[in-house]
Amino acid sequence: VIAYMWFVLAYFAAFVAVHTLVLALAAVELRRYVSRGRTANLRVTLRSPLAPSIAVLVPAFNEESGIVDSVRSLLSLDYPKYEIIIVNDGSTDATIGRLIEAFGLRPVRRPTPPFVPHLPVRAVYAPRGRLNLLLIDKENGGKADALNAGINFAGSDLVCSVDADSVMEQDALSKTALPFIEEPDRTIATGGMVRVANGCRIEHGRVMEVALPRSRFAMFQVVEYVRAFFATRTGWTAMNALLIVSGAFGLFRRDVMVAAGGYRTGTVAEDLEIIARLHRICRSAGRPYRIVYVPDPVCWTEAPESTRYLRRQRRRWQRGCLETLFFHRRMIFNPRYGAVGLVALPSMLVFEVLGPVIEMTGYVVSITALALGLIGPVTFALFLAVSVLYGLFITLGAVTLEDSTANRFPAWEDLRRVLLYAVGENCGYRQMLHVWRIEAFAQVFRKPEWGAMERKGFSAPVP
Amino acid sequence: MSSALAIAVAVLATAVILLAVSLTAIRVRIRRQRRRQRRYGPGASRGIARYLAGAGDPPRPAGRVERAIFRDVALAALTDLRGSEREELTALLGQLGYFDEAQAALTAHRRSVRRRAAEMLALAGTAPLAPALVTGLSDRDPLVRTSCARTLAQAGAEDVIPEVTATAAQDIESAPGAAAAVVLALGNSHPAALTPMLRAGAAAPVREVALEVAGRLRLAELSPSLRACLHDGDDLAATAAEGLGLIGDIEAAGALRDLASDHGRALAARTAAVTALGSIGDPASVPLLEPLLESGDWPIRAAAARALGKLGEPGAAVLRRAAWSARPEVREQAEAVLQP
Repeated sequence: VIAYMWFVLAYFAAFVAVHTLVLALAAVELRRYVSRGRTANLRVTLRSPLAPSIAVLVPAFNEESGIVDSVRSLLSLDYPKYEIIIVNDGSTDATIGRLIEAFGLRPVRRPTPPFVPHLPVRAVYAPRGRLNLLLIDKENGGKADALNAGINFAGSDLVCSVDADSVMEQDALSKTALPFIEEPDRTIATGGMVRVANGCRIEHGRVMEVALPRSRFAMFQVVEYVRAFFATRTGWTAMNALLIVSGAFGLFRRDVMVAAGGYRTGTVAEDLEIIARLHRICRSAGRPYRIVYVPDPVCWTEAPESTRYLRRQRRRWQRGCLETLFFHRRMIFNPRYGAVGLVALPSMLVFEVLGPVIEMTGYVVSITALALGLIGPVTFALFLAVSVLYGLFITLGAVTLEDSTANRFPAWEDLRRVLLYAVGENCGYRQMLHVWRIEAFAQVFRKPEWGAMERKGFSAPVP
Repeated sequence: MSSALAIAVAVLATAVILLAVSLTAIRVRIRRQRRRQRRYGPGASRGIARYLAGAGDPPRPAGRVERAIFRDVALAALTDLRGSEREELTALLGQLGYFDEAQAALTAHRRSVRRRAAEMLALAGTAPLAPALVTGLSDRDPLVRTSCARTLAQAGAEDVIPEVTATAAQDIESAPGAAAAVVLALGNSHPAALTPMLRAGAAAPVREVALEVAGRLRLAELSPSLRACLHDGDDLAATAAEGLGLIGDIEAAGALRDLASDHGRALAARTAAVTALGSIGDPASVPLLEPLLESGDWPIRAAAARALGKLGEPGAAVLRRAAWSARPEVREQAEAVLQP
């Protein structure tokens, strides 16, 4: 028992070392980003004919309630050259009808390009007017399959994947495209910040007022998102070992996606898998590249507020990690893949996949040791204190980075709530997530469960 | 174990306290900045607006904070203003000594200060600042160099074009996006300055950017240089073909037809040539494009159909015949272009 507790302590020391390093790198990277972001050179190019064209891909499955508002919001993005491609992935509700009616779409003859594979397209619709909009109606094949269809139909330099139920800020596309202008040959993918929209006032696909959610579960997720994006992804970007560009908001070079064969279908984490694959392809070919997380363009998404949907989401995410690690197992601890093979993927394996098991067994073993009198109550209390303090340290670090760049929640009351929940997550929430993530091991060989949840929707009623 | 844990708790508690103090300090600073912004910002905006409308005396911001806020408000306004209002505001900033400060800051030790100064001068973009900007061309930082180079190019300082061109070539590897902005500025103000960049002796990345700028800005005077690039490597040839199509250079049609029918060239280069033939609108290309409708390569087939769709009645006649083809992949391309 004591030996296992030493093992858990060693695991924790490794966890602290890696995450502190990533946090420190995040601070350096953010400083660099803020310093370079001021340059007008790139903004000038963004408003010039040299700006890369973008196709915003919106996969939609049974999104009748919010799809029209989402598309309207996307049509008002501040970017000079973009089109929107909505891919209806065999919806069984009125998604298609709502879009046809709202945007005056009509069926058009459009051959299906063969660049990446996907299920058959049933029809293509285009507006009668001059809107840069295309609606593709295809057989149901999942999000990855829908995105592949969008990639095929896109005639642009870049493709941007967004969720149909997310809300992008107006300048999000411009900010996310800047790295492609900064280093056009090397940059192959960029991702922006995804924030929890619960609590915000959103009208007709636009965020009118930013506020923290009232729901406890949503608040815990606010803390998680800030930590994941500011303390983690920014740090991995500094090492060029970023392993995920969120499916809710990611920008990719279209030619690279086509060369990679598009998104992989049959996995629940196509966004994670494609990034691992892009790393593998580029590093195997010895091609200079970078995958960048850009901290301030924001996409708002609705977080699950009930245990039912949160559990489903987290089991799916964990399953996605397992699948990606399995698909790319040859990269793990392989020096050929640099920081991705030696640090990022092993970290994912040890801390994300095995971490919940080690931590939960650590709780069981230390409680047993306490009960058997093998350790004293002081040691037990110190054990818990270390865990809580480190969580608080990382969250504080992330909030400090957030404050020094974005500062979306400037009120002291907001800070107090975020820190309260950062401490509070150690008292049950974190353990609950671990249990769900452990459950995902048993789910690997079953049919994937998709995270469709009952959405409250963003649109406020028209006054 | 207890002692190891106690040390860890002590270290972590110290780190948490330090972070909490830093976070508080950052928040206090941000709140103070916002308070100052609320205090001086609206006044600065009103002062500038009244001055530009000829309804008031020139604003005279006093004190370090007020001056800094006035500068930020004025620079934000400069990005939106054009014509005489822009010139008046630039002159006002000059009178208030901001450009003198920026010129002096160009020699500062801190890179961030030099970058900010270069940005300020870049936004002003006036010829009298040229000497300071030329100094900036030899800065250690590529972003400072390229900001100065772009401003010089925009300001129309013809005597320093060789230095500006050299800066773009120097920084194309370390700061490709910023160097491209310099080439873009040259393309807008001195198109002829791009000619040496398009020559065979120039570095490939510089040629690539210059070709793209020449095409996207539709600089017809550079067509001969673009035509010469059609015989280069596939990447350069594709960019040149795209540019010639955008320019609509009828004299390039022959060379583009050669490129489109050269099966030894990369698909991207051939596709770009086919697309350009359509954009140029030369009906003599129809006999070449008709067999390409049956190409085994989807991009060539699609580009040929779209090009034929732009070539008037001769092209439309070919597409109508193709719409009856026994091959569905040919039929669907033709039908897609023919639909109203």
